[in-house]
Amino acid sequence: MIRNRLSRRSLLAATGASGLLLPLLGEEKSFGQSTPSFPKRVIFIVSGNGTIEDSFWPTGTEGNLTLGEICSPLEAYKSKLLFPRGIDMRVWAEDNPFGGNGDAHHNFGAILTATKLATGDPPHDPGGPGLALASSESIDQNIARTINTQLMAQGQMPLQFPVLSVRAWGRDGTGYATLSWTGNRAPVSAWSDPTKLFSTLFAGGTTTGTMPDPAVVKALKTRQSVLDYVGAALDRQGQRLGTQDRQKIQIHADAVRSIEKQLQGGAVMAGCTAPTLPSVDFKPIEDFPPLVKAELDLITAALACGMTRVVTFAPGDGEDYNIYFPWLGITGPGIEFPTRHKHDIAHRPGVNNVDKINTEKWFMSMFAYLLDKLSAVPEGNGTMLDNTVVVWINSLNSGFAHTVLKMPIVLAAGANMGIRTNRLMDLQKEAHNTLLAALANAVGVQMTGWGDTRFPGVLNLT
Amino acid sequence: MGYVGDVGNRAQDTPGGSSDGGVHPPPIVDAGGAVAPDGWAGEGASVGQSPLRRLGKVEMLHTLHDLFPALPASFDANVDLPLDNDIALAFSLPGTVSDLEVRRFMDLAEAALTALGPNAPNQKFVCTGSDQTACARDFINTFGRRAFRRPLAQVEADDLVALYTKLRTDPAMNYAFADALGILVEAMLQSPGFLYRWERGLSAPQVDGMLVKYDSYEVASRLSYYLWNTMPDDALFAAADANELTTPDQIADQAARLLQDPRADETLADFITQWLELGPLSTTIKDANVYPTFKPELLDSMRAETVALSHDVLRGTAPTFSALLTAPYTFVDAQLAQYYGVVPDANGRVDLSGTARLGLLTQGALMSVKGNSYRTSPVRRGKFVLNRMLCQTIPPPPPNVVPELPPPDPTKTVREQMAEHRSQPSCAACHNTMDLLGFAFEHFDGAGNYRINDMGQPIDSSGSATIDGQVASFADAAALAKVLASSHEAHDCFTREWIRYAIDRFEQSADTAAVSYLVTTYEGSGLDTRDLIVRITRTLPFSHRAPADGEVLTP
Repeated sequence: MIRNRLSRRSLLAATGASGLLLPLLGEEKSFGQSTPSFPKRVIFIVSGNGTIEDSFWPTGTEGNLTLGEICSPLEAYKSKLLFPRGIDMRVWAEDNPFGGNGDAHHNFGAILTATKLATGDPPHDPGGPGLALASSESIDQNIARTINTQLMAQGQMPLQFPVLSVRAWGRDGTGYATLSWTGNRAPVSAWSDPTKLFSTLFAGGTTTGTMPDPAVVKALKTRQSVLDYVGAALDRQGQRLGTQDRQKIQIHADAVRSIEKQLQGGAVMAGCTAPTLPSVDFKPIEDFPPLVKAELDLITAALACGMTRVVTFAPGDGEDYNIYFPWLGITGPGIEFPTRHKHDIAHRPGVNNVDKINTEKWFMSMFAYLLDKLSAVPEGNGTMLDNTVVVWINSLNSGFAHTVLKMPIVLAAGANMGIRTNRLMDLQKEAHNTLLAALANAVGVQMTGWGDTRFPGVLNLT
Repeated sequence: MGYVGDVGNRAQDTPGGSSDGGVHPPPIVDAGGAVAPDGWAGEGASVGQSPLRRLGKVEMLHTLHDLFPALPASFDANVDLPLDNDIALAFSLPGTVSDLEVRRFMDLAEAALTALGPNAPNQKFVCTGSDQTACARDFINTFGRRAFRRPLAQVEADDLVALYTKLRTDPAMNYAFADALGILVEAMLQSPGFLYRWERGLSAPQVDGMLVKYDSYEVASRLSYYLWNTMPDDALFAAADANELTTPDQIADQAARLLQDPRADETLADFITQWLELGPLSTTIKDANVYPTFKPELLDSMRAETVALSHDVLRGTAPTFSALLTAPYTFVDAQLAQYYGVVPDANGRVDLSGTARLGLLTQGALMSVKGNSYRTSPVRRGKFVLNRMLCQTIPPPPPNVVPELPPPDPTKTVREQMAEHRSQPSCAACHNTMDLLGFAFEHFDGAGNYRINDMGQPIDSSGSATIDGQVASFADAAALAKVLASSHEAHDCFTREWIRYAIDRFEQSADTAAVSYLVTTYEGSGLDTRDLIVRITRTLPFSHRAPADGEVLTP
């Protein structure tokens, strides 16, 4: 069961200071090829509440960019950055704003799906946002499905976590917070507790070469047997239901089987070294920075261990009512809201936008932290970042006016991703659908467009 | 149970079910327009579709505590519950299950057994015979009936027996008898029979003309989750076993019993606090510079005030909507009394006559939760009245057309600031409506206290609104409360809120007859809310549903 077709190469754990050895599982050798090729990965990051345009976009020419204040933490990675300016969330902006979409603080469900929100889901408080559920599969899920199909066609094990979905706070399971969807009105809950994610990723033990602990095997086998029963019970009960209810049950049954697969993988994942989590509670707001870092550590480890190739991450949600910034010295009550949280700052950015710029800059420093981690994992002659593209999308342009035109987007792309970086692109009313399609192509999942067919095509990133 | 936002996709022209071929008495117009005394629907009766529900967070905790009376109270705080997709306002809609939710169910089941320890049902179970597998089957059927809120079908028990055998005989597991039963309990807690409101089990639905009639086990759970937020009690189980939850009288009798029980107090409080959107109250922050006497501990006192008045009204001799809005008294604890500057009697009761306060709407809880940290918010207060008292809607600000407003001028009164706000034509259409309602509350500051002046100027709390098709003007919040208390539109809205709470879905156009019936009887009863709460259970939306699209109705 061990993936012995994968060569192992030791390297220092990139994600923790533990010094334990982390084997490399990701290297693939195709028949007749002498040089190894590494899997391509994509990380979708969406953060809410808009930006300050003048401080976000860089100036200068290709190869000679001057980063804006907000993006200044990314200075060390400037040569790997691409700023596609002029991308509109047209699927949102061009729909009747009162036709069920409404306030763009609630557009998370339309970002990676690039389709309109689900219909027939009016809120209880019709003046409010409803649940803002997505209407179709998100691109991360589509990419992951295709990758797994490709892997199985090559006789390889499918990925244990087809998509690893992680968030730092935010309200789960609605279009307020959820990026990943398996289909119409089917949110994929994101991991939000680093401790739980840690114990899940590394459930099967982490030491190379030792036999699994019988107690662990017994526990995993028990869980598998129970889930097997649960899956069968769902199948049987689902038979009678109406179409929509049957879909819900099918989604539940699929999730049960996905956990069964994860458990099987967990039993054989011996060899992966886990990052060291900080011993903090992760619940008070002061622990938000270590929470975000721990999650980025876990994401890096999961990618490095070959558990996943597709990640979604949201450091918050579309509203961010619970994220505030004592570590930046921003405290006290807000101006429009009881707390000076990220949403309040979006509406009232402070004198000369100082609070808004400082908080957005902090989020970009977390982006830089992730890039540090990815580039600390050796891969061939380079690093894992060479084979990764990370896209950071802000769900709004202006957090006050709730605009979704000219979205603040920055990509970091490794050398092997076929993306021409170190530049600012100036586009005109480009639908964000085409950017998503381009990212799928960059990781080897060919598509000619994504989402709403009114906005076809693939953005040329070369 | 709670408010939900899920609406069946088609209200009318639902596909016909196959006729059940049975002989029913001729339709007699009764509750909801078309449910006959024997509980079967009359000809031409219609009712909305009702999507499959999963247990919500609170329902699940309550159910676990009823299922396992030995479960320690501390259990609740230490488990990561599957989410309801809460969106702060008052929704409780458990959505589809992703793999993370599956893990949460798994963790929850394991945590429950761990917390129960020696008191878990598998540990208490004694096998008297020599055939342990037969004992396991007994255990499965006994525990399963409570966990699934209905008897298990043979094939369901067979599956669990098969799991039992695997747990005992698989060399990697090799569980002892009692431990294997414990795993069965965990399995049942992760099973759709427990997680979903699926008390019909594997049987075919009861087809009633064009509709589906809930069977007695389904009705037992509908009643208990509506009125107690938990699984049926022994009396409901007994009634379901005897198939005595089929007629409107039988159902309403049980509803009356449940409502009368003190266990329904929590439901009444739950309804009121969700209806008033008090969910975010406990995390509300006020600026100490603006409100120096406010302390965060007061928020709990304010919530308690709202619950106490509602309880007094709804459990009292005149449990009416108008009393909720215009009760000239309230209940405060010592610190809230000091904050308000009032002197309660020995029972905490305060006579409000001669003051600006009247009923629930002027209480600290609503005024604080709908106030900003440093000032009032006529917009949020007005929007609340429109949404919750009148069931009217205000569209959200349109994207890309909201102009950048200048920061408010702190030297001006809130009313003056709002006037600037409404001078923008694109804002005025909606803000005129919201703000003119919200101004009525200007005598209550952002932290729920009474005030005379704003920026040194006397407060103008006059406003107006179109209510019952006429423009009503009011001098202050008390006057507005009186207008609402006698408004047909508000009575209609309050009735709808209770219907939604009871049937766990929005009303649909197919439910129109029942809604009209309930509004009419509510007003006809002199706004007797206890009668309304029970009467809802007599109507078609409670006892029936339209078949779902694609549902298999044949046995």
